[in-house]
Amino acid sequence: MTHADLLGALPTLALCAGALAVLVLGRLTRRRAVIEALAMLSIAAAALLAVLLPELPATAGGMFSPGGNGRLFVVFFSLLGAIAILASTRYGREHGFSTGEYDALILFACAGMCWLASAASAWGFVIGLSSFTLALYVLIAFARDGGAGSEAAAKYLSMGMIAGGMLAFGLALLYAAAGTLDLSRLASASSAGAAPPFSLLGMALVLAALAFKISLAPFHLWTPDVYQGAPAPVAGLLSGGSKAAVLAGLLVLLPAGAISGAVQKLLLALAALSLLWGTLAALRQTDLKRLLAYSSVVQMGTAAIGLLAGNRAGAQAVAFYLVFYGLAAAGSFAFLAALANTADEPERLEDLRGLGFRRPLVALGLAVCMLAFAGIPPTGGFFAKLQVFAAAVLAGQWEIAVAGVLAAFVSVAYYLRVIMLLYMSDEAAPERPRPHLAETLAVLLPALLLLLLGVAPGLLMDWIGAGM
Amino acid sequence: MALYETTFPWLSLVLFLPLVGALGSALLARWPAACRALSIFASLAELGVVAWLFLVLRAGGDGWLLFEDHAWIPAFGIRYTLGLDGLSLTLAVLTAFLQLVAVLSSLGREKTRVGLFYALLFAMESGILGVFFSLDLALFYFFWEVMLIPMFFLIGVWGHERRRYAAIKFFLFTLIGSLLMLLAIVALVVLHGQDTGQYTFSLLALRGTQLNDGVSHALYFAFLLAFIIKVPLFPLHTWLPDAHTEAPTAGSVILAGLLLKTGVYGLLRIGLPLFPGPAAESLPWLAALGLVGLFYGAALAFAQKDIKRLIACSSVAHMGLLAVGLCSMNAAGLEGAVLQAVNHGITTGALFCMIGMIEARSGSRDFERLGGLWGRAPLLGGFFLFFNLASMGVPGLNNFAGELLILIGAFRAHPLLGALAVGGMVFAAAYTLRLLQGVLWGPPRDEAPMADLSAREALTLLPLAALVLLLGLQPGWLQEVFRQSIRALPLALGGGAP
Repeated sequence: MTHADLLGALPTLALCAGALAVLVLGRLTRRRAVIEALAMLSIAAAALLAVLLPELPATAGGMFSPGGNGRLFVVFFSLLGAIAILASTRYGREHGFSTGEYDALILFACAGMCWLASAASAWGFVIGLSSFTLALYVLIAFARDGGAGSEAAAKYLSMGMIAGGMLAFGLALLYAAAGTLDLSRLASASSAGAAPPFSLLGMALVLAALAFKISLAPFHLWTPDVYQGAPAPVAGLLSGGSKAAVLAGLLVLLPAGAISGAVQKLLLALAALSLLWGTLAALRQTDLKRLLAYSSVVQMGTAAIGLLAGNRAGAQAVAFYLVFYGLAAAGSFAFLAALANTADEPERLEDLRGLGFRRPLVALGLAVCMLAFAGIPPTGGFFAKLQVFAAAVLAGQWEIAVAGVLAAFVSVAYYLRVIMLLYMSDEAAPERPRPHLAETLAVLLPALLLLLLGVAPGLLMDWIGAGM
Repeated sequence: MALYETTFPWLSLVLFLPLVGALGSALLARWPAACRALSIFASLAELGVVAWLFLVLRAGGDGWLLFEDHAWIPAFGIRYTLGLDGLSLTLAVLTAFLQLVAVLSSLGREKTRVGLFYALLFAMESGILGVFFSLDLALFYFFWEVMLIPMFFLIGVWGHERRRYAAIKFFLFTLIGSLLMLLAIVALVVLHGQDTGQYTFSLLALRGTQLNDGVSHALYFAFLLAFIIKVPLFPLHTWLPDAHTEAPTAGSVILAGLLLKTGVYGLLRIGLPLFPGPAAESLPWLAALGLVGLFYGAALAFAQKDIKRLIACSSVAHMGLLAVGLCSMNAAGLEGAVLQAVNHGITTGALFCMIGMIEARSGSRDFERLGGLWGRAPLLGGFFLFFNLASMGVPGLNNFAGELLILIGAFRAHPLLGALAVGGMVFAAAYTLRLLQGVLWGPPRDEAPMADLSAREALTLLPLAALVLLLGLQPGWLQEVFRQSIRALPLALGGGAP
């Protein structure tokens, strides 16, 4: 491990140190505010370190690369962690989440996501993926009062086990074929002309495992149930954070130019099926969490179009896309957390009626997230989709670009339905608690950032471009 | 006046001033009276700036009267490029003016969530002005879609009984065209980039793109679809009667007066110049659609029982005639079309205002329950008659000049086109007379006394009436402003339809 590696690891180490400190403090005090403040402090420290550290050269042979877009992703995942913690301030208290452990697990999950996003070798990839998945297993089942959480966790665990096995086996096959664990060279080695046929099987296994994680059809079946069973703040981290992290990992695994032949066909099939299946299913949902689950299938299908393009524009588009998607997902689930009471979350669509005027700030946040998902300017979602489609057109992949545009069009129908329930209902849903400042912030922060990305997308594009 | 060389960002000021109004209105949401006052002030200020620019620049000749160009998203070759010529100047004045009308017309009408209402109305104005100013296709598209959201909310929250249906229909109809246009924009940029090595969204640079036949037809079709949905041309007009009828008064004024004009503007500024070859081929078809719309819209209007829906359907007919002028592709037809875009905005805007006033008094928009307005509220009846005569194309009032120019253009392009267009205009007289007969004359259906125009209402209608007269008697005054700009557009003049 070189000096640069150590420096590069500092931000994630801050998250881990914060997690440990939170665990210890959770034994010493029962005051949630103190613990949450400490957790937020370590998140701020991580983000600040990531911004302030000097540019580091990428080193060969390490598990994690200190260069690239790793630092951008540290800031991003820290932000998602902060949103999750803010969103669970009241939620955690009312649902009896034990102090300390909960926040520590969120910090660990964020650290895992950072690792995955900056993985340089197959080792780093597996370590990153496993560490946040492990934290999420526990977080999903954290509500002690209901069976739904345990059921969701069991579902996520069993699916995760299968995916983990496929990933490990696939990587092993790729290693056997390529003779290296260097992540960025695995794909090109497996698609080279002289590569043994089993390397293709390895790549297929890896892709299938990752398709599980980001809910590409037909590997998405767990998603609606798990979102529904998980506590809303956790579901936000699960939906926004883990998918974004895996996409970031995919960017390293499938660098520009490395995707061709059968792998491309496989990914194309996954993307096309996700667009179709997700769209058809999302149109029929009556539950916001399940709607978000199926919409995430479509969103990931769209992101896969960027990967498919296999060019630099596509890679940049995917990086932008995952940031927008993570923010919009985190904001949507923070809304559910902010208006949750001890009995339930306002997840049935009819629960949303009239909230636009009775809870204007958080409803506005949700509305912005929905518009962003739908790709309507002035939100970051518009530029995310624009970049993806531009990359596909640049690569000459017209058919999938048109399919993506059509899916985006139909998606407007189900996203607008949410907005219409918020603002255009005749009768009102039953009263909901008034969100606290922290909760309001958890919804408005991503919404404001989405609007910022909608008018000044260059800020993020330049940052992404500099890291590639 | 050294305004041409000015470095002061006048266009950005005009573009963002309404946003300040929107923000202020949203922040003052707790105090409806303050919101209303701010809205009047903001729309007056905006109109003041635009009118001053109009007076200073109207004799500016061809070329860009004002121009701004800054980097926006350098990584993508997207720039913040705004340009003002006579055409966009004309439409900007119309925008600022109708915005004031919309604000005034809603003062006594909208009583719920006033802050949000005016915030959306002003956000809408920014979006529309952005469409009229943008010379970068990505920026244009950005504003093009930004317009959708405020109108969606205005219809859906403050609209009438079937508002939700109308709102989503409006949104989805316009969006499908827009999304295909977005794909076409991207494709055009990529093809231009692969050709020249320069990836840019600049409208002026992209005009010279060399495209093979099939591609340019496909791309043109995508642009065309987006624009003619907005215009709207038959058979893509079905969103219009619903949206215009269900929208609150101010929303209908903006929809009919301005939103439809963005489609016309898009065709003139972007669609036709970018793809001259396919555009020339499409003109006969578009003219045919325009004619069908002229007859069909008039027939629809004649069949309506709801007077607001009648006016909404009449817009289909008016825009059909406007398309005929556009497709004749000669100076008279094009100038008539632009003049008519302004005229239709004024008269239809005024009629929607008046229907709001009538509905507020009688509680109904149904022929069955209206009548005898002339005797009960003579001032109201007088204005209603005046604007309807204008809309019908009576000489001396504004629509006559525009329609006459369009007809001259159509006859020059092809006598048959002109003859059919004249025939269609007879229908306009039919539905207008039926409207006047049903609303103004006949026995009143209820005995309740009806208040005549209030001072505020009269103040809303007077400027509209003044413009109807001014543009009716002296249309050349406005024509001069955009004549040069239309000539300067790279259109194949004279190669008109059919």
